[in-house]
Amino acid sequence: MNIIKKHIKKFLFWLIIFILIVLIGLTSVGRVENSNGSILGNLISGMQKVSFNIGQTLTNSFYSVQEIVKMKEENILLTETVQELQERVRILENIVNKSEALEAEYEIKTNLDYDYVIGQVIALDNSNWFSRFTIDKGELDGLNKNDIVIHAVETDNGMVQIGLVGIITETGSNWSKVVTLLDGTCKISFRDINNEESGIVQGSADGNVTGYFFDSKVIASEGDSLVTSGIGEIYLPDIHIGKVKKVIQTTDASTQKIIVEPAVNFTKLNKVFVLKANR
Amino acid sequence: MKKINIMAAIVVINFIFQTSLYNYLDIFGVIPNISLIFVVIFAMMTNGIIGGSIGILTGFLFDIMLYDVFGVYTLIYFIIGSVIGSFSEDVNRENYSLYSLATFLSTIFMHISLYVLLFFLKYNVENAGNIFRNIVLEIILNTLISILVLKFIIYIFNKFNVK
Repeated sequence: MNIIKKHIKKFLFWLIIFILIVLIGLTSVGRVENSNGSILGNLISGMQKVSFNIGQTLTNSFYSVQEIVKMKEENILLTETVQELQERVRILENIVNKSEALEAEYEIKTNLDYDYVIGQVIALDNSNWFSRFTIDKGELDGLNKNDIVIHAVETDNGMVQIGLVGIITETGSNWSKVVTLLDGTCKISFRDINNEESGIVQGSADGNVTGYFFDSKVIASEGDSLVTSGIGEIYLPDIHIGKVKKVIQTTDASTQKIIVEPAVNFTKLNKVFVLKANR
Repeated sequence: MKKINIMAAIVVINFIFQTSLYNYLDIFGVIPNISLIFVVIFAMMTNGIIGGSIGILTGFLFDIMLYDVFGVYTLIYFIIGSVIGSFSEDVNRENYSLYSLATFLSTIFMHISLYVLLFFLKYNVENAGNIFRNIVLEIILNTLISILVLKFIIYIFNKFNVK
């Protein structure tokens, strides 16, 4: 009897492993949806939000005491930066206004206004391998798969974009899963605004964003700004990705690899903006 | 049955904390995997079937709440839970160092399995060597923290008169 029981146990063990491997295969190619719109998902996301907020409140109160001293210095530095930037804007506006074509393009870019939803991060994957999180907005707020997630600030003049965060991969009724650009599955087509050349950037397991140009003869420089190119029609064009941190010549010397410093600080991400653009 | 219910409740509550609150408690940039420690300890305290079931529940929560591919964590936690649960039937469960050893080996197994699975899922694991330091730190942290978690579980079980 014991031998039969042992064999059944072994059979069940291998059967479950087989089923799970099949499920991994099917969900990875999109044949089966990793369905999550259940009551369980909604219930857990609610509790995660409460728990996340508790952690944040405790950490913020701890750091706010520490940072009071730093704030004065930071304030002086920020005022100087704002003045510097204002001067730069004045110079650029002066140049733009002298050309009708540039002025028209400037008007289009500044009037480009997307409908957006502000979401709060409620759960983070803290393993070393992935860079994903869940937000507290979902289908009920009009969010869909492939909506773009950015970091931004809301001002009196509307939303000011800081940089690209990632993309929504799945939605529940009141929550959505987001894959960030640091994740190994995330590939984004970019445009270098300094030389107008395009390429692909990709996240990786170690959280570094690397990429290459389509044209192997392109010469990129450190500090070049990268924006989304809009090729592939998933990512909206002209969203700031980050800056080139390092240019590495590959061993075959035919291409160059770039390491990108994202515009967004992912460790301090709390609120994100989801763009609801009709594509 | 009471024991299983308590274990399931602890797994769910811990999952909520693992993905939210614990993110604020990182040590040298690494967050210990308390969910894995619970799977190991519960498997050590029971048998292969219950250990495997606890593993499935833990992995299921991670897979449905964070990932678009279902099964990666469910598979890994299931194997860890059922294998440790089966071995635990033949060892001295009073020996606390065995719990730490099981946690140590399970953390290593989890990362190797993740590397292999992600490689086949065409995930960019090219620079995986760069996270080696974090993985080693996580293995050490998990091994040390497993003793505290074990004491916590024993305390909870005593409170609820569970044997």
